[in-house]
Amino acid sequence: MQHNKQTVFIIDDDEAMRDSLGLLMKSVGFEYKTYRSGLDFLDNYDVESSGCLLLDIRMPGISGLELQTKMKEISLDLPIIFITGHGDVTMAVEAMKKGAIDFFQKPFRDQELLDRIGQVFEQAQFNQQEQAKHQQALSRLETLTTREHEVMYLVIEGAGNKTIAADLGISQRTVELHRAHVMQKMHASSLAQLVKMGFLLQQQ
Amino acid sequence: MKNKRILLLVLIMTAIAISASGLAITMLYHTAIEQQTIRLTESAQRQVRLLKTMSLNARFYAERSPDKTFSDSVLHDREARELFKGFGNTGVFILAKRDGNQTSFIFSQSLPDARGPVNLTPPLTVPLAGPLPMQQALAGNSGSIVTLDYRDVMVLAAFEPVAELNLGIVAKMDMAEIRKPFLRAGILVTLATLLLVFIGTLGIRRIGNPLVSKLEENEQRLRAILDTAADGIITTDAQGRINSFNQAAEHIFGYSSEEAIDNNIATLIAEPYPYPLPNDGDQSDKGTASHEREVTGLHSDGSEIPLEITVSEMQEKNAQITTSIVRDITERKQSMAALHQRKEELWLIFEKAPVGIYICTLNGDILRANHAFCSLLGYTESELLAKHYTDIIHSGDLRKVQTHSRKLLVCESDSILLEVSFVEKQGLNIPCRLRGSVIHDKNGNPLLYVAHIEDRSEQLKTEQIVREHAERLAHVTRLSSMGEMTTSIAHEINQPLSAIATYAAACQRLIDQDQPLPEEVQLTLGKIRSQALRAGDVIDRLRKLIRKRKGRRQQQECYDLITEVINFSEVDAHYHQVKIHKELEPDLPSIYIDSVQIQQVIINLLRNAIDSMATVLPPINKEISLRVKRHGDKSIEIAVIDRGTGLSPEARDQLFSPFFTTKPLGLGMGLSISRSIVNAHGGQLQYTANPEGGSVFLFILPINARKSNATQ
Repeated sequence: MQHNKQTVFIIDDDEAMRDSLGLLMKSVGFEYKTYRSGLDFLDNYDVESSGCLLLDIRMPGISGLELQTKMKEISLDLPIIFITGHGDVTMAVEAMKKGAIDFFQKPFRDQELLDRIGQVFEQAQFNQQEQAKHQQALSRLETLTTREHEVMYLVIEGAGNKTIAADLGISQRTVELHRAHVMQKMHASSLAQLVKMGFLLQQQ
Repeated sequence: MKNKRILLLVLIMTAIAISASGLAITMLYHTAIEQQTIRLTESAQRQVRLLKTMSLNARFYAERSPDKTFSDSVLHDREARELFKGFGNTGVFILAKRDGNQTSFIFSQSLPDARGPVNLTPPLTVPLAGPLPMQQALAGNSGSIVTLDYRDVMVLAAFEPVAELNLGIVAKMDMAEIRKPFLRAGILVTLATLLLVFIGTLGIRRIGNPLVSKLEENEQRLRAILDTAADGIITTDAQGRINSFNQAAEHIFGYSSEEAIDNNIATLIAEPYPYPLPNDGDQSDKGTASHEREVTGLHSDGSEIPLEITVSEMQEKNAQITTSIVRDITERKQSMAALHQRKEELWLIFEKAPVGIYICTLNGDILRANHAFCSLLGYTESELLAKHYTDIIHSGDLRKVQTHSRKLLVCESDSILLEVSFVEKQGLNIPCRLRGSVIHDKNGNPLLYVAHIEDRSEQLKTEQIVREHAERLAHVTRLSSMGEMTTSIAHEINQPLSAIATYAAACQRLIDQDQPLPEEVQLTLGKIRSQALRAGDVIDRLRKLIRKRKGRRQQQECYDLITEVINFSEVDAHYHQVKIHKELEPDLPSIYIDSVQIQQVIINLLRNAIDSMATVLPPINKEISLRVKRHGDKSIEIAVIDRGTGLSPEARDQLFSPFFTTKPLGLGMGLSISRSIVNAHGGQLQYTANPEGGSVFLFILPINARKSNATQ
């Protein structure tokens, strides 16, 4: 497992919970950071770091749910695992609807929590790679001229050179030229690769 | 009126006098006429005899001396007659001869001048007929007559015949002469009578009038007295016939005196008439009077009238007069009845009063005791009346009663109110409330003690039951609010448990990794222990609050009380992400309270505050203030201030009513019970709106409620 750069952000107002969770993370070698409240986290969060949140759903000041909302507002996209009390199923359901990864009811089985965190980290890593690919495709896309952009989209949609020429009102020859440039600029070795890239870009 | 009567009297007297004298005179007159008649008749007869004698003589002489004629005889006669003394002034003696059918008068002797020559009128001849006396005489009759003579004058005449000589003699006299003295006498008598009447009248006026008017005055006065008398006065005769009926009687019976008089008095009374009995009432020379009796009278309209009647009988000359004095006693009866009823009512009020009442002398001897008091102590009234108040009051309370009674006597207070135990017949104590007062006489001197006794044993029992109920209810409410807090409590216990589980898991992993980290493990075990204690703590606090125990008041430090409450409520607050902010004034006093109850109130208020903050969103801080400060010298003020939704005006009105709630699952008993708890501690629970939004509930507690009337 490669999660060296992944950090578990433990946010709980109960010191013992914070402390014991930290110790648990430490015991399996996870990086972790503890925060006493949502605000504490928002103030001290390092934008460069990634990982997942272990968030107590019920806290004075900003509650877990409120923090989740706030993070969405500032586009802070980190997976959140909620730690809930006994009777907070309603809140947990709401949290899940808002995109939480999972929730654990206290007291929880340590292995399950650790496994889930592991999965999240893997997912995050994968997502990070995907993200990187997307970023790359996006930056390559930005090098295209407007005409090349138009040609690329028509190609992805499966139009032939003849159709493209007719649509854009240019000669087939010119279309072929633009297409060659697109392939070159997008680092696509085949049409399939270009389509995949285009799909990736459209997804975001 | 008076003059008329006198005039009438005079007239009557005059008439009587005149008629009496008239009668006398008439009788005398008749007697005189009879006498005169007899005299005249005798004269006439004497003359007849004389003539007869003379004729016999003449005849004798004629036989002897024929020269002597009859004329001589007559002459002799006339001569003889001259010697004759006539009678009266008008007496006339007449001699006449019958001459065939004619009457020829020989002579008449007019007596007044009888001494003169006999007036021999030339023979007068008149027919021998008619009523004239001479005619009668010549007809051979004798007698007397009153008639008119040839002069048309009324005369009394006696006539006699001299049959042998064919002569008639008449002696007559004028009636006027006979009457004359009687007329004179009549006039004199009349005058004398009138004089007498005049004198008599004067006499009556002088003597009789004052007497009469005095009599009249008396009569009037008597009538006025009768008529204005308030009592009906009725007099009757022996048969009961009404003689008089005064105005008051008219008024009483509804009959006018005219209607009543002559009726029998028995018809006025519904029962037999209460004539006095021989041995009934006063007896005096004048008569018998009965005692007053009450009878039923009958009014003219048929209604019955209660009367008081006194009947007296008296003998007046030979008539018996019964006087009845009648008094309408309707009003008296009514007022008597009202008085009686009032007395009865008062007695009933005293006797049937639901509270015990007894009256005792200033010395403490019981004079009267009502039924409620007798039955309270189980004595009969007579038993109680033989007792002294010290016999029935518990000896421990006597000093108190005596002290307060003295206060009553010196007018320090109008009435006293004491909690006193009475001792009933069996010796058991009865807790009572005694309200005592003193009755004063007209001069303001104390006379009697009056004590109202209220049996408090039932009330105390009821109060005990009520208190137990209240405690039970408070407990239920406490449990109910605990129920509402279950989640919070569970959360609070879950927290250390989770921490423990997590610590333990971590330890296990650390040990499994075979890395010798005893320090870390040891540290963690210590943390586990403290977390376990923490969980136990929560449970302990919970148990303390829920535990059912009898309310007991004791001196309690404010600070400890509040801290304990906050420790507990913070669990709930924390769970609901609300912060409780303590504002405790330094040096708060200790207060004498039932801490469980007061804590229940504060927890209840905090819970309400937490609930009202549930839907409040930032930027408002979810913070509740619990503020405790002194309120004056003798009390403290405890306030719970939230910035929640506050209360609608409707909710404010019903805030403290039982079963009123704004919570979907609320019981509606919290504030109601809180208020009664605070009231029982001599304080009051109030609501005000928080000017910054939300509510403020505050209550003031006396620092020392020991002396208040609160139930213990």
